[in-house]
Amino acid sequence: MKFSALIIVLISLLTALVACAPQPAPTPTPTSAPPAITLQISGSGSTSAILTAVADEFEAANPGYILEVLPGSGTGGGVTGTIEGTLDLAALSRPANASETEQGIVSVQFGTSSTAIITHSEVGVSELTSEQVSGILTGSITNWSEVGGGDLPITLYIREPEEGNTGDIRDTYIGEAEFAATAVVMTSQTDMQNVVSSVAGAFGYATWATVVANNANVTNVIVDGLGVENPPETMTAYMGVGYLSTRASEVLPLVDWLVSEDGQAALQAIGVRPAASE
Amino acid sequence: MKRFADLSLSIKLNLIIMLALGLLAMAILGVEVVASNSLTSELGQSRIEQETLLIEQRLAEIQQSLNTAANLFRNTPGLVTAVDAADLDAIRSLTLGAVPSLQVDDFDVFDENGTRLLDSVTSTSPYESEEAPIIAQTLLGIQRTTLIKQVSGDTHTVLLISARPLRNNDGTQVGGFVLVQVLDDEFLNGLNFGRAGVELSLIVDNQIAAQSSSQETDSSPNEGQVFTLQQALVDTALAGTVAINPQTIFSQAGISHTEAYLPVRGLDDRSSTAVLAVRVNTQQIVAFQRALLANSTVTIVVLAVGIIGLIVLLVRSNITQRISALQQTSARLAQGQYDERVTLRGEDEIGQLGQAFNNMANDIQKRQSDLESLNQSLDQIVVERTAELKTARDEAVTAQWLATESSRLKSEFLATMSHELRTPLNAMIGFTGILLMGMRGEIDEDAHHMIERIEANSKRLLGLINDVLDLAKIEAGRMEVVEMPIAPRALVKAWQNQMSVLGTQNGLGFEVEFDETLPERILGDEARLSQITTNLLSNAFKFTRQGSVRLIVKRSNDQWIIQVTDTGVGIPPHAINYIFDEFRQVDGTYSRAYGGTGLGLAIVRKLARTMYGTVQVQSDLGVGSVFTVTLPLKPVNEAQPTLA
Repeated sequence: MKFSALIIVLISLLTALVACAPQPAPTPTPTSAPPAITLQISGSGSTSAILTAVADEFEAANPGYILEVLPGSGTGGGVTGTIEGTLDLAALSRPANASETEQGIVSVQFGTSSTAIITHSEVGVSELTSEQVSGILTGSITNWSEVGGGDLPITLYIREPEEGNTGDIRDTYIGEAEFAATAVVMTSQTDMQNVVSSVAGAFGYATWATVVANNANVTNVIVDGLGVENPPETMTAYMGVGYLSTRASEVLPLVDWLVSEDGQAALQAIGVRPAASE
Repeated sequence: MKRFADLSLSIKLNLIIMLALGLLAMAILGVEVVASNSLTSELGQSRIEQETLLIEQRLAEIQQSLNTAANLFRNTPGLVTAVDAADLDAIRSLTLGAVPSLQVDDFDVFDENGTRLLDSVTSTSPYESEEAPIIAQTLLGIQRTTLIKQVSGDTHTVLLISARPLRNNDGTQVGGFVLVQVLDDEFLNGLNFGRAGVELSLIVDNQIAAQSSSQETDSSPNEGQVFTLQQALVDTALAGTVAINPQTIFSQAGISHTEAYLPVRGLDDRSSTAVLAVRVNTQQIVAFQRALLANSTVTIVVLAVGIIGLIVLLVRSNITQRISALQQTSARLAQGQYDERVTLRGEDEIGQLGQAFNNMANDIQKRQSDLESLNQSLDQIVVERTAELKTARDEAVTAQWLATESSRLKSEFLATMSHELRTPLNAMIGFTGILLMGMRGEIDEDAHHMIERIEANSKRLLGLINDVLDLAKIEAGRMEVVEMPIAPRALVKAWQNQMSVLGTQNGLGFEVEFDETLPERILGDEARLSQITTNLLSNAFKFTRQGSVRLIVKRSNDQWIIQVTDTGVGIPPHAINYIFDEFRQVDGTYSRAYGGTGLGLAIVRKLARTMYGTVQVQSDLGVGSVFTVTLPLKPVNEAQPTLA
């Protein structure tokens, strides 16, 4: 081997080493994504909760759309916001009334919710009579021992008077009677489920589909043999969305998806009963 | 350039050692460069990951605390009453005291119609138009903490808003409030804990909406433009996922950074409103890497040079010096200094080589000395042998001369003696002839018979003496052969006339054949040719009892042949070899039975040879013999005179 060949090999190795040193990297070519369309919806707490639970599936099926569910306005608030243009859609727990329809609101039902009596999972009472429920709600029964449970005070949680769930409870069990003075008002489905699942002896009510969607650790009490699987008529509620007919083209992707096979499958998976069963 | 193979062993060894160590050092350095590059990259990535987590956490904390503050105000006793009653003093006292500690940029309280009861910033809020939809939603009962964009000309701003409705005990909504934080440069500095080395940029609609200040920013006001936005990463972040740039980026000043893009969204938002670019200056890590590389390079080079020096010294003292000593000693040995020996310490291969070399030198020296003594004795032997050889040769020359001289003297003696013997014999034959012819009177029969015996023995003795004389002349070199023109035909005729009497006496046939193709005349010695032919013919008649004798003279190319054939007793095979020697007949009985001196054939052969010819014999015992004389044919020019 010639000595000069060795020198060449050495120089090559040195060059290779220098090439290993850190160097500025080239900048990737920028690309841009199409802007997303955000649909803001608010209204009924229970319907909103259901819509929140299926928002990811809706967005996956409709790329470019973002469903933003804003909590806490009630069906009436939602419809008002929609008419005013503050919201894109209203989450409904009842069909649009005549006055709302006159103002251009179109309502579409996508399912039926049922209001469920829920207790803390360790109360140990799974069945009650409607009289017992009525006593608890009005404050005549204050301890679980009075209804076959352990010696544990009953803590009563209720929703706002205008909430659909509250209306169902009134219609079914107490009519025009006053709720117990000790009842604590919760302002959202989530708050209600959180408090009932965490306070021992808690008693409350919520839209069952939202309980399933949130995977809340609470017990559904069967009253007079009726539970979430076969709810009494008065404990079921309309679930739908409302929109201004003039803005139909903007919001129809959501409305269409909710009544589509895919949408119905997603809704029923979290306990929403189909609208047709009403 | 000198070829590597021609370099001296020590240079070669040193070069190989330097090359090996150099390659090793470079390999170590290469591994270190790669490892430190990878380490730097990993450190940079790890650092940006940590920063990303920290900033994300900090952003969530800020929103959470704003949210908590909003909840606190919502539940503040008296605020609902104050708003319901539009009691501005009460609202002010209940809210504004808390504003500085909340670090909010705006705190607006409004009644159930959305009319502002309190604006903490100015009488006209700069964010009014952006706040309007939020306030409208709040009046619907919606409470949320969200981010909104504010676009004013080229200026993009992001607002963090926490809105709460206010309700009285029976749930009736009486108004609401919003807490606003502007995500401006100051906000980013707070988010960044005011640190240098970490830079934050808020990106809205691909524009820089705000950025944290840093040392680098202070020295170059357009720092924000220094980095190119990684659009793909911005999009990824906008879609809700943290995107870390796997590559190191460099500012215009050439300072290395790692970067990540975080999605920025409100607590209650489902989508990102903006993207926060986080850039960490990794110059310190790079500087650390460079220092590490520089230090280790220096260390490796110093170590390599030291090790090379040490190995070179060891190789020099242990190998090259000793081999050099061996080489010099062998060179001196080759020049003839056979008493040279090498002294190599150690018992290793080179030491053993030196020992073997010394043994070899001992052998060479011993053989050299043996060779020299052998040479000396050889010289002596050669001288002696040469002297002996010379003596022997002289003796041989002398002996040869003596032999030649004695032979010549013998022949001369014989010639002289034959002549002296013939003279008295001729006198005796002449006188017995006179007596037998009766010229001295009548003699009786007995005396006549005795005289005849004397005459016959005298003639026989004379013939013997003639033959001896001829032979002697030939051997003494006195026989002279002359070449004169002769006529072969006439000569053969003369031979026929002369010898036919012998045939007649013995009752034998005598046939003569002459080849007519022979030249008329040829050169030759008539007397010697006649002597050869008569000798052969008389032998043929002598040894033939019955049958015939034939003489053939013929030509054969440039030779001519005299052939004598008989039907006589023949010659036994063993005798063929010596019948031409002097005084030899086949055996003694022949001589006695047939007479003759035994010199005839010897004279024939010597004469033939003198004339450059040959004599051959073929014979079958009891059948006959053929004697063939072959002579060179020399035709005579017609102009020359002839004797015959």
